[in-house]
Amino acid sequence: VSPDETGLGPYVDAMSAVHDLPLTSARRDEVIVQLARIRALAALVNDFELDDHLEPAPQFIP
Amino acid sequence: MQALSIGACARALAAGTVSATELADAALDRIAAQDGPIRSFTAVTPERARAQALAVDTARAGGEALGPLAGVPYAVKNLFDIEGVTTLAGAKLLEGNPPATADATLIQRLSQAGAVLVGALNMDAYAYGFTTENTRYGTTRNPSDTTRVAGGSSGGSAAAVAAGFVSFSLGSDTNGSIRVPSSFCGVFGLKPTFGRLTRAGAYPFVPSLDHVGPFAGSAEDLALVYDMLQGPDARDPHCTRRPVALTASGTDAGVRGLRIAVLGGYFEQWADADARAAAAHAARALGATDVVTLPEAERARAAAFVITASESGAFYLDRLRERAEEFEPLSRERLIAGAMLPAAWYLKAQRFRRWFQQAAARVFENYDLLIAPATPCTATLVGAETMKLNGVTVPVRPSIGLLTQPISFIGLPVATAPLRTEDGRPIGVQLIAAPWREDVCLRAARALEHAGIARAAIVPELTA
Repeated sequence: VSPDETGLGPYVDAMSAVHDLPLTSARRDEVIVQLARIRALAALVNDFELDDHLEPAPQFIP
Repeated sequence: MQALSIGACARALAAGTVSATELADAALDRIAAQDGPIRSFTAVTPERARAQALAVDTARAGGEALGPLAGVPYAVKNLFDIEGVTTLAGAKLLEGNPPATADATLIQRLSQAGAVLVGALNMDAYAYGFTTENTRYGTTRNPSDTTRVAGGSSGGSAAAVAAGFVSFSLGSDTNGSIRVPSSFCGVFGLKPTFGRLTRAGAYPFVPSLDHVGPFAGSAEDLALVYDMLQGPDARDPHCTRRPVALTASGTDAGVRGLRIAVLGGYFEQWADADARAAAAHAARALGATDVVTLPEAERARAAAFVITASESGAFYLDRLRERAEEFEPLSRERLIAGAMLPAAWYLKAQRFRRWFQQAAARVFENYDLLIAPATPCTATLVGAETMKLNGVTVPVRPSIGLLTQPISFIGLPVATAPLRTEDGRPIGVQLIAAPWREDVCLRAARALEHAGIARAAIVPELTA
């Protein structure tokens, strides 16, 4: 999948601005490819229905 | 001379046939002569090693009791703080940091036990990788076959043991970084329960998933070292306050009475014929006939991937902004992408982690030990970008951890035992127990060793 086909370009541009993290054109393309790979895996998790009372795993112990 | 087992070191020292200084010099000589093509070390510490060895010899001459690891040479992944040495975590980015002012807690404990530190070991930059192909410090090659990778990210730790440079080593495992190189290099490795061993003085990567643990040439040595590493440590907020649970004296108990099963489903799907054969061989030897499924293992691997990307990207964000050119090219864009992930993805992955933990707990109501391949295949070629896995072409670097990630995701203890393929290549199996039952993992590893099925692939003599 080419970077343009992912539809993630505008998101990466926005996050680059939010993070004050300028990207060269080549680096931007590679970040998009990496983000697309993570998005595909995240979709597996995001599609999974969880009980509302299930809390995140980390525990803060004061 | 290749490194001796811990027991052999103790016997030789007790008999007076060798001194700790001679053991240290032998290790240093072998590293100097033979690590060139392997590149397992990034720093050697001869002055420290000789001073520690001399202290052991002086104590012995004075009739003092020696520690359990007296005179035993070892080395650590270069993310552990060594006093006087800059902690690199495999990264050029950290080269300018001042030297560590104190040893990591685990190194302090090993020093108290009399072990002799000979140096720091190569790794994937930031611990983000499974091959130890490091653009700055070189590729750590597999001592069994130098055309192949050692695995990662603790590649130097496994290779140094497999090359006979040291009797044991320390590494870290976030997604498989002890188990993968153990499998590829053919040595024993232990990833304890999350929180069992302190990470104080170990450079972080993904704090909610990072583990540390030992590599060794036998299950017996693995248990001896592990026992010396245990204990609470207020410097690591995740480190357990549970009592120390010593294992070494119980590793010969065998597996009688243990309920053992092989993990099927996902763990078969993503294993090639060699890996499946290794798991089946171990299962036969341990008397396991049941095959069980760990539900949603593929999602667990995906969630571990998301958490890893998010935490590591956030951790390095400031330096990505200011010093991006100094980053490892194989990881830089992955880290940037990770820093951009929506918080909702990260938190869903952490909530799913709780779900998966509960699902695994139900499996452990019926079984004490689960067996799975440690890697989908044997060691891959240096520089390989893709590989075929049961007919599917997949990228090498992220795929090598397919079988380890779901397990470390929920912090289960795992020993990796080294088996061989039919044509003699190393490949490991994961021996997975319920939380805090490292003793079960080590008993099973020892049983496989006794049965003649698991044996470390220590290379007697390396050639350039």
